[in-house]
Amino acid sequence: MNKQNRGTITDSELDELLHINASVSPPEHFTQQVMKSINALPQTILNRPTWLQWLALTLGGIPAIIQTLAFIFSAWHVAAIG
Amino acid sequence: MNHISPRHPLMAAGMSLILPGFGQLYNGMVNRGLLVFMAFTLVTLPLVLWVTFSLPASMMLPLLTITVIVNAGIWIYGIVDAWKIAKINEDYILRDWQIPAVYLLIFLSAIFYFVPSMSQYMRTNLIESFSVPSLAMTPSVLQGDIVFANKNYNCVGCAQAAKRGDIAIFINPNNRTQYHIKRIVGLPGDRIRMEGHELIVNSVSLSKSEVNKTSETTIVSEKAGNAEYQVQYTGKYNRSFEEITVPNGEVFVIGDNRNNSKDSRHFGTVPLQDLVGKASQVWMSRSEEGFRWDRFGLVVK
Repeated sequence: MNKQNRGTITDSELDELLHINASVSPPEHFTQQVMKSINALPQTILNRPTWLQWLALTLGGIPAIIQTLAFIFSAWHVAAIG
Repeated sequence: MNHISPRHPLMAAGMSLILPGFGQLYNGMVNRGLLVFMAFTLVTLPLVLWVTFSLPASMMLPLLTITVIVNAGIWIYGIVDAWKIAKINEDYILRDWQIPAVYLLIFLSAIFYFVPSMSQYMRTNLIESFSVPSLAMTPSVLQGDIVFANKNYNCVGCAQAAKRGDIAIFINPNNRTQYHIKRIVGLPGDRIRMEGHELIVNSVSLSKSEVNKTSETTIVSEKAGNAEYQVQYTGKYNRSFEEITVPNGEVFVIGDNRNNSKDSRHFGTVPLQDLVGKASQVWMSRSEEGFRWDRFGLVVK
């Protein structure tokens, strides 16, 4: 029971506290700073890859996969003996 | 301004497919991407170096097979990892460097410089495969064999120097666009002559015994240096030659199929510097009838 009451505060105690602690004045340029932070928040862009990106991936992918396979099988690359 | 740009799993996987680690970069994980790329490329090199420098020739085929499997494993891991990370990256904030020019620069330098350079290094200095189209080295190396050649051979700091009995791959002295494969029987300063079925080096016959003789073919066992091998004479052999001395800086090479080989008897001795590798192990063998499975993995000697 005591444990449950430990975190609560009665109305009269709250009034008393509010009278003791005077309101804190906001820092200088508070409003401007808040607005600046809001502007810096990331903007959500639900962009999917464009057809150009897929085309680049495909066109670049062909030589890339050939080179990668050539690397993996470099020891197996067969040179002809005359 | 920062942008939230959810990662597209298929794009991430595709980028990792074309270049290991590239999909991780797309997901903004630079270190992870670098790690995947380095693992992919550098796993191969130590294994191949180990094979080339330290292990017996018989280990070449199994270990090179393992390097291919490990490489493929890392490649697939990179693709799956990029896919998974992209799938959970719905609130991804684009980094400043994630612009097309940076991707293009990384891609071009990896695919057209780093990866080809490493492939070229391995083929030039460590291991390369050669297909044998001729009958000149029968019965040791058959027509249709594909052999691994140790390229860490006959150079300053190389694991092996050229010695008698080696099956060497060298540049054709009469056509420098072609390779030849023959056996070294004479080193610089050696005196060599041939009498009938006997090859005599420094007054010692290399021939040991006749292994098999039919009306058409005689198989003779020879020993040069530490190598013991068999050579073949067909029909009436008449290519005996007077004693010659191998000049400094050159070697005398001869085919094991003594009647059917163009070698130092034909084009003279071969400069040591033109020896590019030593044949080690057959990894594929095919004749007109099909694959010769019994030759797969055979160490040539």
